[in-house]
Amino acid sequence: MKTALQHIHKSFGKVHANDDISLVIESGEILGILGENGAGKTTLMKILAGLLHADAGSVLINDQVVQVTSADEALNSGIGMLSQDPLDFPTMTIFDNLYLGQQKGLFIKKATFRNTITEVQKSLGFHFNLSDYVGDLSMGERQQLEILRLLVHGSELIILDEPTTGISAQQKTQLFDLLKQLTRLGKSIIFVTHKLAEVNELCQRTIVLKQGRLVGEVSIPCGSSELIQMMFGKNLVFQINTDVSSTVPQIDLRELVFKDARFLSNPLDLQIYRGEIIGLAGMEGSGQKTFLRTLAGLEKVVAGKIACGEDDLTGKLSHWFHQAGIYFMPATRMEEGLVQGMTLKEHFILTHQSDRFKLDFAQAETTTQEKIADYAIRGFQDSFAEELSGGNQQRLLLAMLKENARLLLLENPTRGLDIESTNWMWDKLHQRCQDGTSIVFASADLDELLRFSNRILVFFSGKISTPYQTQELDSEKLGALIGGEGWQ
Amino acid sequence: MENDILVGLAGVIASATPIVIAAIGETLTEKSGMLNLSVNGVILLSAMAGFAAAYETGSLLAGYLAGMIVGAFIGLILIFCSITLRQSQVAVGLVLAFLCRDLSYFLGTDFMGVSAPVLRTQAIPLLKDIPYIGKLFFDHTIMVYLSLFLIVLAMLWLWRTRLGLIVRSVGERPEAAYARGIDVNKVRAIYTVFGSTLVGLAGPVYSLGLKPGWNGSMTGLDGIGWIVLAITIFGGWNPIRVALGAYLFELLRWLGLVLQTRLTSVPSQVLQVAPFPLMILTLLIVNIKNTEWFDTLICTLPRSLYKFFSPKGKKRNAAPSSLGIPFKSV
Amino acid sequence: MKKILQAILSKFSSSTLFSLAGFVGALIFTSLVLLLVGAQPGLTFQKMLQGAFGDSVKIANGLVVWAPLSLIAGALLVTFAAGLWNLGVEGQIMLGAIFTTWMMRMLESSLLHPILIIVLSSLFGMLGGMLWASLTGILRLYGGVSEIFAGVGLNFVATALSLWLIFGPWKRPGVGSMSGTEPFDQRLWLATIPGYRLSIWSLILVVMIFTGLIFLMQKTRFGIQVKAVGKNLEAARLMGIRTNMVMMQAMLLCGGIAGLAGTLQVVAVYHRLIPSISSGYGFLAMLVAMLANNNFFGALLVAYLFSILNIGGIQLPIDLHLDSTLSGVLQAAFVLFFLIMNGIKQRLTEKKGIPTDGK
Repeated sequence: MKTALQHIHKSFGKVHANDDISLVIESGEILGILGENGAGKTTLMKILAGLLHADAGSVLINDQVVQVTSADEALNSGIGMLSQDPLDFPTMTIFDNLYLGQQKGLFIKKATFRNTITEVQKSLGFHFNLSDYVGDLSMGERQQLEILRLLVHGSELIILDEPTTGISAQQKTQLFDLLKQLTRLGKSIIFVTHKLAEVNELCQRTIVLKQGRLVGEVSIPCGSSELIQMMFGKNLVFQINTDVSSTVPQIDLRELVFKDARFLSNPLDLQIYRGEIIGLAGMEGSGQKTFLRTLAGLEKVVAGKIACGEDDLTGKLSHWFHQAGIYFMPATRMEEGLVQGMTLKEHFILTHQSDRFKLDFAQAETTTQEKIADYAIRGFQDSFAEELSGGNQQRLLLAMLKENARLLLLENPTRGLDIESTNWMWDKLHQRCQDGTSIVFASADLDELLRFSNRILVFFSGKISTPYQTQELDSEKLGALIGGEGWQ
Repeated sequence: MENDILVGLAGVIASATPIVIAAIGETLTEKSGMLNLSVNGVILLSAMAGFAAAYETGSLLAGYLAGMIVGAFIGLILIFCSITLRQSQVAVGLVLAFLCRDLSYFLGTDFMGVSAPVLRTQAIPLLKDIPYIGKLFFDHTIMVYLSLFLIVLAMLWLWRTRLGLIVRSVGERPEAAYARGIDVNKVRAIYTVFGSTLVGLAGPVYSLGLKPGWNGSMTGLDGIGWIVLAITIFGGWNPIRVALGAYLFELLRWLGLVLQTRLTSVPSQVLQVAPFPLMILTLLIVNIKNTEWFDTLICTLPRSLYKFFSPKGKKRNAAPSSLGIPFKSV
Repeated sequence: MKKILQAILSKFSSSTLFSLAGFVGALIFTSLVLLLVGAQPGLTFQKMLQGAFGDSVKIANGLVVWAPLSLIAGALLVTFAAGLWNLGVEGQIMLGAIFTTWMMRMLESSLLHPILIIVLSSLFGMLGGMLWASLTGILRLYGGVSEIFAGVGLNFVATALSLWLIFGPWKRPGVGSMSGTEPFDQRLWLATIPGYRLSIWSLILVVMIFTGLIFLMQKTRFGIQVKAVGKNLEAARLMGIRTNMVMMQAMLLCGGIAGLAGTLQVVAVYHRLIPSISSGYGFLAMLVAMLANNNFFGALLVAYLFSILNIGGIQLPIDLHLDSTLSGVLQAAFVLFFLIMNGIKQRLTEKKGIPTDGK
């Protein structure tokens, strides 16, 4: 099936997310779509998959214009999309999950559908048990399930949007093998990512989007610097972490055991030093988030102790941790971090005037102005948090963390940020380390972990490794550890 | 004595019938993710309207239909305000609850103290002669039989049909259902109106059978709607368990009556009101298992004990995740 | 003519227009209801206005309703800000009344000055309301039960409790009766303006409490924390706010003020404990709070509107053979049409496609 997009335009208010984009993809091809944060990749794919309506332009299948105004219409035409968080139903069985979306009949016709599923499963080498629950699957398995669903419903073109976030290296290899096999069966694949290495590994051809426009089309293999040049318009220099860690212990964990959704962790002994940066590596869902939240007092400790300096914080409510100078920055900006309907000034009042009964509004204004300048936030005192763009919301979150913190716990601090913003953020964080703040952060990006941490802890299936010195690791070794190999 | 108990229990089943009907209606509504707090008002208004219709026309059928129409209409208002106009489901539901209650009192003044046709029981031949069970289940009005039928129907619908799968998916994860081509808001609208229609059927079951007539605020129906809402949660959004909750409530009421003659020191008014807080208390106890602190309390137990105490079948029991949260299609 | 209309319309903001439309809509709806029972809308409304403003006694009676209603509505604005639907406020009013009665019964034969007795009983009444509110708070925060059901459930318990007291330990000599407990001696009645049932103290109380509330919610840390908790609980927690304590404090504050309203009902209005001492003011105040749009002055205005409707409705059964619940219909209709107009306004002024992260 040959698919084409012609002269697609899409705007959100004043932002021209897609500006006259045209592309073609043939059967059996894997096309990569590269671009930095906000380039318009996901918007374009949502239009193709029927989840958004374009303002202008058309979608063609086998040179015929098709109307793709909803997700199931797209699927009927043969286009299916796998989102970053697969749109499945955790409380349903795998069978029901696959079935939902079928058009006909009052009663669920199990037999015929089961046969179809079995056939497709065989051709792909899957082994799903149809009566298992979706909620019990890992992210990688849920992705596989979603691909299975798209194929069972006759997809010829499969779009994958940043699929390798949150799956293990082993699952990634499985996924890539699967995708290559699908192309052998004549399917087309569109692979959206911002990771250069993956493009080189998987795709035959890639297009680059920048600020809503298609700025380049190259065939793979292609040099990274050329791709970066197209994505950003300049060459960026990668910095390596300059060590500011001391050996003065700041946070002390003794035989700490915490509880994640599915397991109890092993007891952990760890001393975090002043100015140190510790990275948490591992598959998403291996406990990093819970670990960070436990360190912030947001999750209860099952056994063991947490001490900060001389204060034993074990078992205390989270605001005591906050008082001790331990702050947590969540991954979801608007859901957990910022308050919709409150202005920037109000946010700073909440974080910086928590010890006064009567508020000082004059001081609030001064503080807010300073922070806006210092953190280069594109917004005003009286702007509402939800009016800021994603990157500026991230800056706001960072600015809200009070100075002279003892420990900063960051959950994916640079997720969705482009390289420039990432570097800028780590610059700011380094400044804090120089003041003695310790940082523990989780990331799915091996480069980021290797570049910025002093030590790394690896999470795998409920086990936490002993800390590794970053100098001892490289991406291969780290990747293996994350996949569960090479543990002592 | 034995016969008294049987008769009493049969009475429990009969008087729980409108609650069962209303609660199943609310369960269906909430399964789709909509919260309908107007139940208390709808029961009152539909009871009044049903009675008025039966009185005016002399037809019981007209009465039941009138009640259902009232329920459907209120359901329509609810979805219009909360889906189309995007107002808070809680706010709209509450206002409708108060409005319908006052409307029922205001419009019903002309119908106080008059009499209208009353539904009679219809024992099922043969089955009614089975010892014990016969008296308990097969000597009732058709409404009771209907309620039992509804329980079975609702269970089959939700878990055996394609359309039932759809409504469950809408309540569970509307974005995912939407991506599968399901019109989330249309499904919610349909189930809300249908659920509210069932609630509207429950009202006349009272005024045309169980508590014949209309006596304004003395009718004693004010408050039942809140119990219906509590029972929906108590039953884990599962029709069979919801029905059991209804029977439990009426059992408590019956016990209250029985005890009135034995416990003379307790004022009868207190015993009348007691089942209401007791139901809420049971709700609390049932819910304790789902709280976080309980979980941390038991998570250190050995594996088998932990499994015993932790909420079983959490998946089947849980509230529809999108309950009360509006859905916006792109 | 059109020009005059346009000139008038341009003076008002669209918000006001929509509110006006809501007001008119509710009136039209109620008129239809009246027509349904064969009454004349014009005459009915006229009678209601007469009932509310006919003479100074009636106006004063309106204020007698207004005082407790405002207090409760103001209190509910606090819990609303915290994101809570405090339906248990009815029970909190009742417990305030119960505790007040309790204290007064204990002290009425003592030698303490009447004013002191009243003050102590009022404080005790506030304690009762706070206690009851804390139960809802505990059930919500530690029992995982929505405050709607906990509140409604506790309302039932409060009703049972007051019934038991009225028909049991506190019953009038002889047989317990629905008319309540033995009325208190006149000296324990809150001083009213001569010739009227209104006490100047009620009004002073409203002014005091509202001043306090406005200061608390707009100028203090508590106020802004409550706002944050109501808008995004998790974000508030991450910012170091003691969310459980803030919500509990909001509940206690609301319960205390509701208890005070219950006290007023006992010392200023009924002078004894009666079965429905709250007179449905809790739910009514909830409607007021919904209309007040987070604005304390708005709450005072709407409460006054609702009060005159209440008073205006009293005469209806006598004059026109209409049930006084018409007031309730009109009050609920106002809120419903306000919600409808609010929704229409939002949909009409919706901006299209707010930029996301560019994804």
